[in-house]
Amino acid sequence: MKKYLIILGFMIFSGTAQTPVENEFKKSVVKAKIVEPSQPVSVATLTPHRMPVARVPAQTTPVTILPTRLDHLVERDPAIKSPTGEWIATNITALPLNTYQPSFGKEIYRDAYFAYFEGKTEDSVPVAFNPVNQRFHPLSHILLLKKINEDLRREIIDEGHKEYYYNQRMGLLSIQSSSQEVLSLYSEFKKRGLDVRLEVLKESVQPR
Amino acid sequence: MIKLVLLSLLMLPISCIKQTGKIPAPAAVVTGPPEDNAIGSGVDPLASEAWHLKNTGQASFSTNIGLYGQSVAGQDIDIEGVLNLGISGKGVRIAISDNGVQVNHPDLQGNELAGFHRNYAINDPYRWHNVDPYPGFATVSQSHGTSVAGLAAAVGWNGLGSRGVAPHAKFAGFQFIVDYGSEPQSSVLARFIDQTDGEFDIFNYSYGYPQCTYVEQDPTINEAIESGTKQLRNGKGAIYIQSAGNSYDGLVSECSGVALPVAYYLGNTNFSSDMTTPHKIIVGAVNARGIISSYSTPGSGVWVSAPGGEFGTDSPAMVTTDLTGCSAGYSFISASLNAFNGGRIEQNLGCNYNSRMNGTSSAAPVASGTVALMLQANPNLTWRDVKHILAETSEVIDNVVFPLVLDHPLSETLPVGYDYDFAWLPNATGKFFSNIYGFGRINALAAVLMAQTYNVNLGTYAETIREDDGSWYYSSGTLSTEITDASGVGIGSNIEVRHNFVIESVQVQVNIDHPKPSDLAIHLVAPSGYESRLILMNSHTYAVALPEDKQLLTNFFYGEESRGVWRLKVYDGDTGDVGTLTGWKIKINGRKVTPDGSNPDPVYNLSMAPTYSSGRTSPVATFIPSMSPDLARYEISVGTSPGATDVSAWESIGIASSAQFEDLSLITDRVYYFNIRAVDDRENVSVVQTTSWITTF
Repeated sequence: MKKYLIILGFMIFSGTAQTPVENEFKKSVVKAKIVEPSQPVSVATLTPHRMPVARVPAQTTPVTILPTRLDHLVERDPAIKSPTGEWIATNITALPLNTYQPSFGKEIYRDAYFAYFEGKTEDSVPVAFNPVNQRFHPLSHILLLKKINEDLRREIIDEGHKEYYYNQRMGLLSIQSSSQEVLSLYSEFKKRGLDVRLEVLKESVQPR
Repeated sequence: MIKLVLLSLLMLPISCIKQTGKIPAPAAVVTGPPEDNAIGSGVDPLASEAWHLKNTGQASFSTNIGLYGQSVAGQDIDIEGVLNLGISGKGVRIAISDNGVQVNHPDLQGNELAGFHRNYAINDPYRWHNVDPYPGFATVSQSHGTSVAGLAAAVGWNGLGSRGVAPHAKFAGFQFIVDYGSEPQSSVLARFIDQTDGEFDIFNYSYGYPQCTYVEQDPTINEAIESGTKQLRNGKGAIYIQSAGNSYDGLVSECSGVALPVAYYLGNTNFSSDMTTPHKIIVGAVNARGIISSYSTPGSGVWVSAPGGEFGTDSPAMVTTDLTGCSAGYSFISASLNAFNGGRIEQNLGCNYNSRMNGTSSAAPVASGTVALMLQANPNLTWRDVKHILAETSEVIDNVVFPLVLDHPLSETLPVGYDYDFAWLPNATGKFFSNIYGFGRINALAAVLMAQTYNVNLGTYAETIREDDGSWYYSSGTLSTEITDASGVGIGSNIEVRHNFVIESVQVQVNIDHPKPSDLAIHLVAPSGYESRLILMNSHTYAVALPEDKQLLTNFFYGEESRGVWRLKVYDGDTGDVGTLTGWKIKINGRKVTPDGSNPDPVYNLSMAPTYSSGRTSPVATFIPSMSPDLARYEISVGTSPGATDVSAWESIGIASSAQFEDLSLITDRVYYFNIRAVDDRENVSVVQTTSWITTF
């Protein structure tokens, strides 16, 4: 059977099978029926053809560059996690680059928009840390609640929370909080048994 | 940056290559487009440069001397015959969700859906919904969406430019992609949900996250997409089409945010969680030579591929619409490239077109246009029907020899005995799949012809999840398996799947502790023994950890049956860092093998009690129980033929190794049949076992 497969596979791929060109559509349908190996294909026994690729960019040798590890600097509450896997730092906050001053606390990291530093100020925002690429991101002041029906939505709004977005079909409610209160509000909703999620301000999609 | 990719076409004489045959074009039912569709003079002066529509070996304003993308006649999507059938996308609505579309472009305006455009790219994050008749195109960088729209649905036969793949499909332009970097997921989510309000058939997403690292998107966004496949198009589901990415390789510094020494990473569709959902069609790119575009991101999540071209310099890119005028758009950026883009020749004096659009961003709208043609041909197609037709009709290309081993793209030496990947491999049904091409390059005519006569019943979509909370049914539990370092042998872990589905896709979630996850290759072996590579070895991904519950998607096993032992295999391709597999889960998506399922195992050795003294009223049957661990109950019935229930309907007897009816009123000396079946905790029902007896007195 394996030999049969080898021969057949070669015929199909090499174009030596004398299938009339006008039957291309039918052939593509039939093809799946023809090659029906009853045993798993062991590629090793099929004598793979190795493609002599010379694809490496000439100026480089293979090398892995990894992010500088910063996770040892991050203190976190393991009970709080973003839905996308970031940690929520309890010892680091962030300010826009134009408002951060070294006297506020030791700078740990900075990106194009924010400085991330130990400690906090009145205006600094809570911070999420991505353990995958060791990058910090500001935490949004918006909370996402799932499985919210109209009654629950009304109840939450009547409590004085500000609605950012609601979609009845998906049962989604977003609540605007503030950078200073978002974590405590998250805990409050969590205690009530609501399906609440933090949001991390991170990379957007890009054109391809 | 021109990159070297599959050199197979250079390494072998051209005579060795299977020529791309064409389906004979159906005779034109009308001369040119159908009369009621006809617009303008009937000429599209740039259509002859659109190699993806009809490849005659044209240069498409490149020098066409490129080693990797030189145009080869016949390497196109075979669309001519579709137009001869009078099918051009009429009545189909496409959402071009991008960075804005110049909807008043003279070659687009005739197909715009006035009033349905959206502009989400606004600085106030609270204004997520702003209907804008002319979504922004203020900057030269925002020509992307305009070029994408033209490839899908530029007006045909109007005396202007080229034409879209679906020249009579309607489109709306969404300025979805924002420039300011970071935003709440709620804003993104709101936009995804908002898009569902326009009664669109197709959503084109020529965008995605960077693929130099692992990017996790809030799973709620994928849930919004899934919702669209269930609810839109009157329950038939919208078609979501996304570009695979342009990260065949790339510079790691793209990801770091800081300057780094020159080093390359290798992208994969499975790096981004937004491309691990089965509810999208992920599209890779091919060039005018009929092989992978040098940039196209591979991955087991790719469904099909479509023309995306190269760079328009020494190999053709895509000729399409551009922001109007010579001071904006891709033509402005590349004015020095050639006279066409510079507006210095008659065909493009107004610089309303460009010849340098490329990327999987181009492949996606070519696929979207093709799907528009399919939906005109058969508006009843569901989202799964569309995927099925594309899988069945797309062409295997770049197929020189089989099996063809792909060496590591950065020429790394891998562990002894380990093969990086294969160009194409069959699965157990004989269907060929490639991490580069998916099921192949789309063939518009084949897809439309199959759509026209489509009579496949794919059945009800099913997933191996628990109904109460949606959690995945099958898990390995906690593991602590050390992954052998720098080994071509690797380690493995098994999970037995008892649901028997015809597979449409398979998802896994893996948990691996590893300080350098880019060393890893992750394979999945089906019960059939066939194997898919979900993550390729030594990707040099910019990461020091794999995300928790990292989700991966493979389409490789399409059409196989799911029941049996699945094996996850993990390899570490480099020395110095050791990791541990700590657990994994698997979810099968597809349909039950039979309408009532074939799970669990049936009982066996069913027989009637040796004495029939009570056979007329209270017959007793004994049997050896089903071996299924997830058995919930047995059900019994009695009939006058095997399996029939005309005497007594199915009744539960709970879990027992014998069964007895009560209070039957049977006729003497008549043959009856005792039936029993097993039911598992997901209400799957086994094959019915039957035995007969005669009521003797």
